[in-house]
Amino acid sequence: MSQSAGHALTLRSISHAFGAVVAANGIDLDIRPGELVSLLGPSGCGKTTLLKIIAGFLRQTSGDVLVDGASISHLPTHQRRIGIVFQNYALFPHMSVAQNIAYGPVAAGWPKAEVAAVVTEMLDVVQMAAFRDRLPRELSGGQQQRVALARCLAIRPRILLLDEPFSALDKNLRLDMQIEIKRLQRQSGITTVMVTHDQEEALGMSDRIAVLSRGNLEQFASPSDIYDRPDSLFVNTFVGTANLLKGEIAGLSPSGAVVRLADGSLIETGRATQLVPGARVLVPVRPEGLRVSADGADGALAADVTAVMPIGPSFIYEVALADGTPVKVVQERDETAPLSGPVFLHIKPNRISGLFADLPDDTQKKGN
Amino acid sequence: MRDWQTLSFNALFGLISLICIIVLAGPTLVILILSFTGEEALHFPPASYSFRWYLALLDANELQAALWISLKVAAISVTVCVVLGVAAALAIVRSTGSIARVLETVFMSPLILPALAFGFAALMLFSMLGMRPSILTLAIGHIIVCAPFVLRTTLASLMQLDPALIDASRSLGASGLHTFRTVTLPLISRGVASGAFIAFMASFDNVPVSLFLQDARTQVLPIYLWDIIQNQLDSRAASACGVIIIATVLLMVLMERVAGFSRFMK
Amino acid sequence: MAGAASSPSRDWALAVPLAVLFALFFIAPLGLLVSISFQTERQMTGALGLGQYAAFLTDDLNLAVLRDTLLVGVKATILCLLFGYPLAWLCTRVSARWQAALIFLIVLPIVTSVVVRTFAWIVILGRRGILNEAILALGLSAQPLRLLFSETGVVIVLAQVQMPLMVLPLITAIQRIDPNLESASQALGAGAWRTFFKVTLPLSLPGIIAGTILTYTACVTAFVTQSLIGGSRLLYMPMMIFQQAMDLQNWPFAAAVSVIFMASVLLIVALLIALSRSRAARPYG
Ligand SMILES: Nc1ncnc2c1ncn2[C@@H]1O[C@H](COP(=O)(O)OP(=O)(O)OP(=O)(O)O)[C@@H](O)[C@H]1O
Ligand SMILES: [Mg+2]
Repeated sequence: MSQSAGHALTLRSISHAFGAVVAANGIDLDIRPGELVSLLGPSGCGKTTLLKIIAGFLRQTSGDVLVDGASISHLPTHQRRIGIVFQNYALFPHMSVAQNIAYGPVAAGWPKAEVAAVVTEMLDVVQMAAFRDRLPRELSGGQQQRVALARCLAIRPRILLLDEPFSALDKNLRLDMQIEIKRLQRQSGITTVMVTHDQEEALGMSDRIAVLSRGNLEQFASPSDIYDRPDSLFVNTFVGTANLLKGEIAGLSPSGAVVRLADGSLIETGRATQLVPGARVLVPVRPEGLRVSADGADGALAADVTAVMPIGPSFIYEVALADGTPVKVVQERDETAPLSGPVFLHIKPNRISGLFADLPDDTQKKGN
Repeated sequence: MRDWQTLSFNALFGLISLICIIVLAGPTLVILILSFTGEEALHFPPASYSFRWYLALLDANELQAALWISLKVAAISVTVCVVLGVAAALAIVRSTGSIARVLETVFMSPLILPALAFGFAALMLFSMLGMRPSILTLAIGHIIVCAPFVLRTTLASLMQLDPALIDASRSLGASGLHTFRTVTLPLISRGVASGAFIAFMASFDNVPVSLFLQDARTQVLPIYLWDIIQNQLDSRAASACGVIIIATVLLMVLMERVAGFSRFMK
Repeated sequence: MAGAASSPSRDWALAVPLAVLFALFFIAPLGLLVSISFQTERQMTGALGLGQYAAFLTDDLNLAVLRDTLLVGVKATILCLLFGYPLAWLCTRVSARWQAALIFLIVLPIVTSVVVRTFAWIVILGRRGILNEAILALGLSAQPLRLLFSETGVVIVLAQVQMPLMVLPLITAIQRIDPNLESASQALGAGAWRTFFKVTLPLSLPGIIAGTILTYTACVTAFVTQSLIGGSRLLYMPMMIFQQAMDLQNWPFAAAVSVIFMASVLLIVALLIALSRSRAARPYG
């Protein structure tokens, strides 16, 4: 599959409006050859719209789509050589597995021998050779997805698009298919854009993630940056579970800031901030950046346990701070930590990467 | 008390349904039985049975001529209805604007407008255009009254079609025409076939439009039958009806098998 | 579908052939019909006016024909509804196989020629027909009844011939009703009748209206049935148009009658649709 490897995909200030609804607002993305990029965001944020624009099903209101630096915006779908796997797979119900896979090559007028060869090759790639004469309705969800993938790879697409590829699969199968697709993508080196609203899927599979919110690109970065160094309060809350502690800036240092929390305790944050002393801020801490214990060492916050859920090897705590702010904590099973009553909350070192200004809801902005 | 209610409800509804079923099927059965009479007069139940009236059809030249005209007109109009109707249905489904709704309403309106008034209007138009009644005028009239049937079933099956299939085909490099031939058409073929069948029967059965658009040389079968039923109650009318009934039932069974057409009647 | 290349204008092109055909041979003739109805002279000298309409509307005999036509449709439609509803209800209560068989039986008359079906009724309703022989044999009447060439006959036959048009939309509508609603009603202690009148019937109103529109328009315009069963003594609008146009060659008058007839039918359809709209707004009303 070497021909299909390594095409760069660029979106240049793509905007799209459905009447008054702005589904994409000046989106810029530079996707490197061979990368697997996820478009992540809540329902209605414009993920499918972007995918449709790349595939050519929708014509953007403005902006440009480029493959290897050349604009493809003027090309109709069938001349773009961009493969797409649909959420419901969209296998042709009246054609066998083999006919489905042969569909693109036949439409392109390949010689019979080549069509037969690519069908056999693709069936092997997705390990479906035994099912070549079945109809789609005689296949399981996972098998249908393999066929959809094979059908799309058969045309040697320059870019591969996946629209919520795993949402129709049950949980166990989902992990298998995620690994499988990741493996195929690595093997072929095909540039891939995947739409998902499942953050774990995005974090686990992607080279980079583009987080979208209401048609805007919030952050485009590697999974670890997205998780550990979110650019905005939106990204912070949307990806992973976020605890937000209210406070105000007590002092600034070259490497960060000192924040005074509601109960008067002081904590240090890692990143420099443009906020001024006295500004009201939100301090984001992930549940695994916290620890609950019975003894209150220096800088620990007093809290009350509201609920504990043992999940496999770990406990999930929900505790309430003195001012009532609920906080979630994940930690390993620890027999010494109390399961109820007053406890102390410790913030592990270097777990606070930034600060967000505490503004009224609509005007939340990043405040690093 | 509740049981009594349920009982009386089911009994009444069941009874009425039974009457309905008998009344719906009865007349057709009566004609079918009568068509095998061995007597001169049409009296039910026949005193004896024979195929004589069926054999008599073999040299009923006028009736055969009328049958031919009807079949020709039906074949022409159904062909045109299918080609234009499917194309129009595609356009209506694809476009979201209000003009599409207007067009759909216009195309469907022959279903509720009195066909006789339309037949008369068409006659006036053709006579102004200097077109004499012919197979052509009959076919044009029938196309208008039969198009809604094809359009309706085709639209119904297009609505069922997953638009992602079309997108998938396009993304695999297929042109619009290739997509239509290999994906759209096979998947709506049952609806199209059902519509074509209903349109064929509607054309074959049409009286009110044909009345105005035929002349002595182009008399269609239902009008010919109507004539002999009204004027001489010829026993060959029964056997001709028998042939129509048998052919209709066979065709219907066939269409049900290949296209599941009664689904499209609901 | 809307690929970058297939602009809306190209999608439109597909509807053009049928639209042109309809413009030429449907809209144009109807326009011609309306314009000829304004010719005051039978010879169509070009003098325009409302003379033909006045002639129709001021003659009680004509108005009686219009009234009879519209009424015969009402009666046949009511008959269809009364008898068709239980049948439609039954169709939704039986197994899938039975339902398929019943629907086949209901659809069969639609595709069978109207002439054939009407012919059967002549044999059944005639003076020496099946029904009269049965009535005489049972001693219900001393003389054969006049069923053929009577309005009763026309209503009965129209109802039978057009019944499928009522039953099919009803089946669809009843099938759409959530069966839980009926179970809930019964569980709350409502008997079968109460459940029917309070739940099933109101919720199937869209089907009733759709069926009524189809059946009614088919009944009032059923030229073949009206004239074969009604005979020459009962005159209905379609026959009147035909006689005026073909036997008397009075095109302007026939055109005016056609316009009046079409307008009445469309008015009734519009009323029914308006009724269904106002009802649809409060489905549980
Ligand atoms: N054809 C359309 N007409 C009008 N508005 C549309 C259309 N398609 C999408 N929208 C609107 O555009 C916005 C983005 O839609 P889009 O389908 O891209 O969201 P999404 O991120 O894929 O959501 P989901 O996760 O629910 O699939 C939404 O507000 C949606 O309502
Ligand atoms: Mg989506």
